[in-house]
Amino acid sequence: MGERLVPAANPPSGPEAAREPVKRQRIRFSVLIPVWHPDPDHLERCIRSVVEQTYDGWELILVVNGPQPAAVESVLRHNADGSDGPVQLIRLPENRGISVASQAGLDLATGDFVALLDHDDVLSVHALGAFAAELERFDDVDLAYSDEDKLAHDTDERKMPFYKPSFSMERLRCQMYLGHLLVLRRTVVDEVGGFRPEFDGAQDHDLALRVAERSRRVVHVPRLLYHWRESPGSTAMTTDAKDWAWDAGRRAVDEHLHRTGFPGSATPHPKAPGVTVIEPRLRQHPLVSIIVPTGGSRRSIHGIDTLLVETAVTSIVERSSYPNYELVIVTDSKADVSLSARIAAGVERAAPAGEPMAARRPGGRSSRPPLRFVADDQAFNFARACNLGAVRAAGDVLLFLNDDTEITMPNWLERLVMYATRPDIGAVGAKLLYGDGRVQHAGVWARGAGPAHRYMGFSGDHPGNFHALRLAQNCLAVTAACLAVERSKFESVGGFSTAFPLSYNDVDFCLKLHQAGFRNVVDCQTEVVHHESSSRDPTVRDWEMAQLFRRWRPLLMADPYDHPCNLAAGVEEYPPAPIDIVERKAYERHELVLTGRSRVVGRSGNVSTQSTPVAGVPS
Amino acid sequence: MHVESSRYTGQLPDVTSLHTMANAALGAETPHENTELRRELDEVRLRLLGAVDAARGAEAERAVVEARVKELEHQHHMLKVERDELRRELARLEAGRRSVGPRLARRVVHGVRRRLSGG
Repeated sequence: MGERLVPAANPPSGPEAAREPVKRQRIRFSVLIPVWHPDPDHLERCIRSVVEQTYDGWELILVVNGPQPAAVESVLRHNADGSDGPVQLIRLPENRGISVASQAGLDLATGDFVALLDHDDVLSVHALGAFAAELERFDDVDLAYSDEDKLAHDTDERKMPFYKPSFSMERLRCQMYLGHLLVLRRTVVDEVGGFRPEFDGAQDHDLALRVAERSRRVVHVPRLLYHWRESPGSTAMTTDAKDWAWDAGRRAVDEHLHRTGFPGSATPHPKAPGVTVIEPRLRQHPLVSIIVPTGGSRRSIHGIDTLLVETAVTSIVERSSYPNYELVIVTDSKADVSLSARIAAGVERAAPAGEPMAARRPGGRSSRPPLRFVADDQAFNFARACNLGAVRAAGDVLLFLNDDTEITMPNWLERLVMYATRPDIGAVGAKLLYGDGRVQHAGVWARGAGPAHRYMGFSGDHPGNFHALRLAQNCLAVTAACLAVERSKFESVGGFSTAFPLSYNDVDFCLKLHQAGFRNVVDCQTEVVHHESSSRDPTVRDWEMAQLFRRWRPLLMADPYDHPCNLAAGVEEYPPAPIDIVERKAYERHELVLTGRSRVVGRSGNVSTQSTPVAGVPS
Repeated sequence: MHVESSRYTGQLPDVTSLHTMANAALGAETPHENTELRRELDEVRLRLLGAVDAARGAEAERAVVEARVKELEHQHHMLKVERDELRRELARLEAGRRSVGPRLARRVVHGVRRRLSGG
């Protein structure tokens, strides 16, 4: 079968065998394959990959979508002989699209879970066994997915592995990243109405969104269990292949936003087919308090000596379209006495003529925001300065902004508020770019050695791994250089911890939110310029790192939004080596087992399957 | 306010009501922002945030310790399973050794040693 999962054969033995689930046959899968004019060899290979599964709790339903070429018919007759075996064949008189075919298969399915397989793709022989092992661990899994890679059209070469993060509703809105193998609980699929022909081309995205909305738990099986065939005209080969499919995806997302009351609308990404941009459509504009701690630092930007906070504040006032915000400037003890006057003058200059902004009147359009200064006369502690600004602020949404930032997007506040005001979302951050356009921050991930900014130093135009730099997505933490959070959530976790005076107070804050059940979001569709650490010492203190690990060791060792294979690759998210080498490194490092549940032994904690209980459902 | 001095007992303080009290005391907009009253209220609210943070931090540290204990218990269990398996394997080897007799066993061991030493 050309399986190259490494080590090639690693059946559980010894201690591992003792951990193998006993009830291996409890879960039954219905594998659905709509068939329409595939390459006969590819179809044969696809069917064999199901028949040769190491797990035998499955049925295969082939739905033949209208008349097929003789060679395809031959393959079908060879594999489905019409008996009551596990391979069933349904014939539709004419091709009525993939959704109708999938629904016909679903109507016949008897399994607990439905697995969707395309007619020229290949399952790993371990696929259903690995899913069964995970689904047996929790009774409330409604949606599960695995990693995937591509199969070259002619050579069967495996390439482009997609090592996915844990479930992220924010990412699913922007991209059908769950892809393959997608496994859904049959009863939930029925509840949401099954497949819908009007979304053909993105019918799986539409279904995944509707199922995810109702799911109690979503599970990610972090293994390459699906090999997606590159065929001419398929989206596996080129993202330009199916414009109509991308449009169907956008419509599916739009409908999802409407169904869930999300204050946004879906538009296609201008540079990335298949990626959806969520544009804010706020119905309310809560007061946002933009809290800027500053010591009045200066720096040369583009050869001009610049008072950083003045640039930050004037850029906010000049460019922001949000109608209801206030500025809270927290000055430290070293700040020059004339600083507040400089800032106030800057705001006056930047604001177009008009009435002062009606701070407490949502939707009230005006030009000059309320401005207040708070003096922090104690020794510099960034966390304390932020907290002091927060207690002085009047807004329902707090936005912490470094004084060395510069606003470039008019609707940056709308975008951040759109996410921050969702009840299940905690902190929201933006994609931060250095002055020269390189990425400074696209979320924070934890890779054992301590938290780090994702994609730091990459080109600002870089798409990231499978468009990660063009999406909103969940991450463990975001930097406080630009962080929005609702006041009630901020207070419920005790704000920033003053035990971290300089570094990691933002990571600690976000992890407190994560622990409290909120999802943190980095919206890479929001961009802010950040001249990092221009205003304070960038050195990281060892004791602050040690303190962070004392609080959050398990999370810092096993970031659910990262993947052991990405970690093994040793670079951002791009495996530099062939798949088998990267996987071997990952599996050796984490002692993942290839059958049954992956695991980590030793001191690093469990990074195995990432299961995401949906908000409100206890794990 | 006894929040700051209270030790963590596993129960988080009622943050919302305390903040509501503080907000009410503060009023909507105070014209004299740097008055002593304002400073005192700020300090109270900062201490309140600090108390909640301390409780959250203690909760997190406790969770870390609990996770570590579970991890060690699991390792302990796995080591016991492995030990038992090795004992069974040893018993099987012992039985095999007895069955082939001491001379043959010595020859086997000698042969293995010779191969290991590259001879």
